[in-house]
Amino acid sequence: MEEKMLLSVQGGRVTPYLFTDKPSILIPFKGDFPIVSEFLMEEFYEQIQKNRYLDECENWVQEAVKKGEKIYTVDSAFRNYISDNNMSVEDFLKLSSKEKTEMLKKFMDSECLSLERLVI
Amino acid sequence: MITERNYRKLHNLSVGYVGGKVSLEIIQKAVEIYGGDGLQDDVEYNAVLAKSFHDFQNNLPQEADIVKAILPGQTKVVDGVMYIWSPTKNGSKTDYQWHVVKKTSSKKGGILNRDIEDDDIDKIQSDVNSMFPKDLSVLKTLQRLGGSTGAVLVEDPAGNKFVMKKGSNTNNGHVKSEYLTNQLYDILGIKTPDYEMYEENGETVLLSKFIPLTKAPTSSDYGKMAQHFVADALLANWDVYMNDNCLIDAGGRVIRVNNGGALNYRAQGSTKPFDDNVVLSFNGMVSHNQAVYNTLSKNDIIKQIAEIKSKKSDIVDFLKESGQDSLAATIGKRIDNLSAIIKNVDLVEYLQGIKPKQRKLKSKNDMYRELTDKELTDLWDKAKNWGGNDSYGKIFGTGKHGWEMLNAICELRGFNARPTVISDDDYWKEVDNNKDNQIFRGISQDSRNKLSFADMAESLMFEDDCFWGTIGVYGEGLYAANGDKFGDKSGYQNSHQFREARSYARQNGSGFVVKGFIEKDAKIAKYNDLVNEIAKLRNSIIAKSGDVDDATKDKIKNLEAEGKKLAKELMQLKDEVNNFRKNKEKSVYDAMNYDPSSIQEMYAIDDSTDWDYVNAFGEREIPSFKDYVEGNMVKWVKAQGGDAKIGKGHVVFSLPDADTTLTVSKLQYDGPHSIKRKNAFTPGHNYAVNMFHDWMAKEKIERVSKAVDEEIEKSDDEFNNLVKSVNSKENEVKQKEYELNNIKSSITSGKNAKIDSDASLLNFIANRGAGEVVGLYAAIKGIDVIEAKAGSDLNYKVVLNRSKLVLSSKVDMV
Repeated sequence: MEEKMLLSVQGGRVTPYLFTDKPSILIPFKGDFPIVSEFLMEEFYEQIQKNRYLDECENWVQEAVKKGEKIYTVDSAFRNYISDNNMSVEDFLKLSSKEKTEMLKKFMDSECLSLERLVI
Repeated sequence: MITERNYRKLHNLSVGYVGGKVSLEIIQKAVEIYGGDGLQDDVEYNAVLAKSFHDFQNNLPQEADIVKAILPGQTKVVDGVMYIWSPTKNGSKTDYQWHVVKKTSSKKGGILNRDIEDDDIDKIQSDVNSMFPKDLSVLKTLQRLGGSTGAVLVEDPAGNKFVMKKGSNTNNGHVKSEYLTNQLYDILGIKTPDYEMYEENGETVLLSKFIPLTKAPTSSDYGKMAQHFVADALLANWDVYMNDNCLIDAGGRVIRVNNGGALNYRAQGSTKPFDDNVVLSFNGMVSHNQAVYNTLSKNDIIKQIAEIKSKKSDIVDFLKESGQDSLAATIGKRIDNLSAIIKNVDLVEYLQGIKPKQRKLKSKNDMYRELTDKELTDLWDKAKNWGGNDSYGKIFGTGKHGWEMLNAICELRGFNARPTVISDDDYWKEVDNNKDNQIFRGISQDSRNKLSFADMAESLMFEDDCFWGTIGVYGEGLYAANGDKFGDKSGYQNSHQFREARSYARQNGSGFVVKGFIEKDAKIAKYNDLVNEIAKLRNSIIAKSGDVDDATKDKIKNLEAEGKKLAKELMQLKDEVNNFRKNKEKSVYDAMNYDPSSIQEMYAIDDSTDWDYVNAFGEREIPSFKDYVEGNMVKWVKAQGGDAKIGKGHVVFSLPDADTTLTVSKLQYDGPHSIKRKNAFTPGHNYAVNMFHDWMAKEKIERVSKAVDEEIEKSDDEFNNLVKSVNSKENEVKQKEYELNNIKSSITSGKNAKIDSDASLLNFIANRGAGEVVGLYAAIKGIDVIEAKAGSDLNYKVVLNRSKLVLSSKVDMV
């Protein structure tokens, strides 16, 4: 039977991406960042820790998590991809812009992603 | 009355049928089209058929006038057996006779009299779909629809609307590929808009029926979208669940409206790899469409795969007959490879058969010593490997160990060493002496489908390298559930803590639960106590040269409070913007007496009706005219404020403000030619029902859709003002952040000072204060486990020292 996703999982995995102007150092996501102002960080954590499911949270938390998830899936997958190619994040960051773009493109092909995935 | 020309066409096709070149389905369609309007319903014609068949059954000679009157290729079902009026072999007295139908395949090759032109067959195919204009020049462009393919909305003189895509916007191959994808979806029984392809002056053009009043899907539609997840992966339709490529029609049905990014083409028209590796496509689509995928159970996926496999020959045959031999081979292999998706590992037995290797543990002194400043600095430098120079990346960066910073700290201490794994019997004996520390850890299916259950279980239980996870709102670490009440052998599966672990395990559909306990001598610290310690750490990091004045303290306090208030207001305004359209739609529905649920029922009942059903006697069995037309259709029209006049053998429908009425007759509904099909491989549909749907769409749904658009347009100012408010509020929030940061940067002491998070690991932890960093702090301090309260009798145990775990080798699949 299908289980509804727990908020501690759904919210927890996106917290690294929400409060910063540049959600990912690896992928040039485009959007309105930070997704959540730092003023609301404490309240955000409270909501994630006290509720069980996302739909129990206030709308702004729900919207923030949904946006965060879009970043999370691509960013975490790309980190795995870099590691699978025997490269560290530092090595990747040292590549030229052209090389980074090539690698990102190959990754997106292997994951069946289009460029629109980078727009949040 | 059939023309001489059309009679000859039918004759040629019949000859082709006998020669095995033309299929039965093609003949049947040709008879419908070339036979002329109404001939099939004509009483006199049917009497001729009956007479001819009677003579055939009684071995009487066929009368010459009768032979001339019957259409070549005419079929008739008697006593469950289908017969076809087709040419006899040379030498018989009559040219035509009734023959029992046998399945033929349209192979090229020599036939009785002359070769049949493939053009004839293509012509019939293109004539079949009578809902589309014969000539593109009659179409008037209404508007561009946006998107990278240059699609436009066009209208024919009868007011029927279509979406047009041309090869000149991307390329002909791209347009043909979308056409092919739509046909493949049809064969698989998956909804797309009705479509037709044209070749005009060397350019390929695709027309799709415009569907009014469609909506972008919401999360409540994900289950319906996922019903064909495997098929979408099979066709590599990467973007199907985004950018309005799937829409929900007025019937609540999922329609795959934009399939240009499938097979070997991208949405923008360039090519992409498309080979037999369907597992790669599937895994990719799972990773990036988890919300949709998670609505499926493992059994759902197995069922979807079985259904696709059952249609493999239809799909492959269709592609071959369309001249797509290479694609037929690739898709055939992809269908075969679907089985690899499901890995059914009997994890429980496998794990119990593993003999754990001896562990190598660091001494207690080594494990719990204080880490030096140099070690912490080296860790922060080393973190460039996974985080670059960005402090966020260093703290939150993940790799093969999950949290890499946590792993680095735990490696230093030897906290990553393997747990002790014992037999299930031994577990129940030993946990009895350690009931308070009983734990259950839920592990879910790998969302990327790269790791099997066995991989993940082995990693946790038997391997020296530890995977710490990547999520932790109470701190980075391995999460397990622990309860105030012990779960004994007979009842542990009903315990709160087991059910919690099971919830985690089912996050991606299915998983397993590991049971264990934490050794009695483990150092356990409470989450809130650690947060307080971090606050003290913060103070100790800041230079102790005095505190700020009260006025500055107040200013900071006010700025924080104001900033928080503004940020909340901003979120609420954004919410209003997001729901603007939904609210306007409802007001229009109410004003126009539009009942969406009735429309949904209308489509649902058609979808669930098997229009091809034939009983044991060879007779078609569909819902009666009384039930479907006089019953359901009348009900649906009245639900939209319309009316219906029931006459003898027909019903006349009308809707308020409609330009036309619609008459549906019994003969149209259940006459011998009421069931049509797109091509030989697709299921049949009721022509009268389709006409009814089209009329409802045009006279009601489209009008409502137009009214909604007008209402939204009228509310432009209101919406624009709302958007302006959002922008203005965003600026206010940013301004407050700027002012606050400025003040804090100028302070070098006291709790209001700003800490440079980038400077060191402890600085970042101190500045962040709570959440994930609590795990790092605890590991630095040599804490084995963090305990966080999660409910009245439930705790989370966040394990940092894996060597302190004792696990049973028997897991629970959930």
